[in-house]
Amino acid sequence: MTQEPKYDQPAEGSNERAVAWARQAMANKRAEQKRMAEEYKTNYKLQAALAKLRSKNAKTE
Amino acid sequence: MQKRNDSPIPYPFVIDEDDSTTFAFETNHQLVYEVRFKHTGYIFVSYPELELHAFELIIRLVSNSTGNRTPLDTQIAATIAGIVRSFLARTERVIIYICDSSDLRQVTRARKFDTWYEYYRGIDFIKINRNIIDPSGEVYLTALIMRHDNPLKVRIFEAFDRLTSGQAEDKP
Repeated sequence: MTQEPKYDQPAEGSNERAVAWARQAMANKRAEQKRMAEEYKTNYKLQAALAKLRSKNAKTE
Repeated sequence: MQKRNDSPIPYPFVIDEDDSTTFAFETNHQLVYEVRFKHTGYIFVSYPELELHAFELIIRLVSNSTGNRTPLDTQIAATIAGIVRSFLARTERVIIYICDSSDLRQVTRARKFDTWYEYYRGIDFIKINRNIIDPSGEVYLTALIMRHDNPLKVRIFEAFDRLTSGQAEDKP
């Protein structure tokens, strides 16, 4: 489990709060993308659902 | 995200049984994409009425079984648009998107995202773009998407504007 980020840490610059938020949001996004790729490898239910969809499409083509 | 008559045909997609905010689809080139709406209540931390409804849109290529380069495929955009439309069927929801800047191609991504949006938005959706400039030189391109009939629209506008302009979180 990851901890929810906090945006109360000021960043450098005139627009500190916005920059702090953007930095954190970008870091969160990259971490989540990495997690998605990892999780997919062992998400057999989702892989099965996609395989089923693939098979269904092949039959209708 | 309205489908136009000349739109590419979207790929069929599935919803993850264990996580109703994750969608997946496979392209004709054996690429599997996941589209995840990650709950991000912290974005509007001073607006508790909005917290429940805020999600970050994250798109990721999770499998490329052929190992080939990803070809241009207009059906991908059509599919993502369909997924976004489906997710926003609940009118209060709001989606935040931030373009990845890790390879300095965020402007290209933002432009592509804008093109998708303009192509598929129909009359039902609103998008607000906000650029945040980091003193380090990095530019964060962010966007918010919601339905026109979102009952929280005015508060969402206000909260996003305050967030991206760096104003204090306290409510006026």
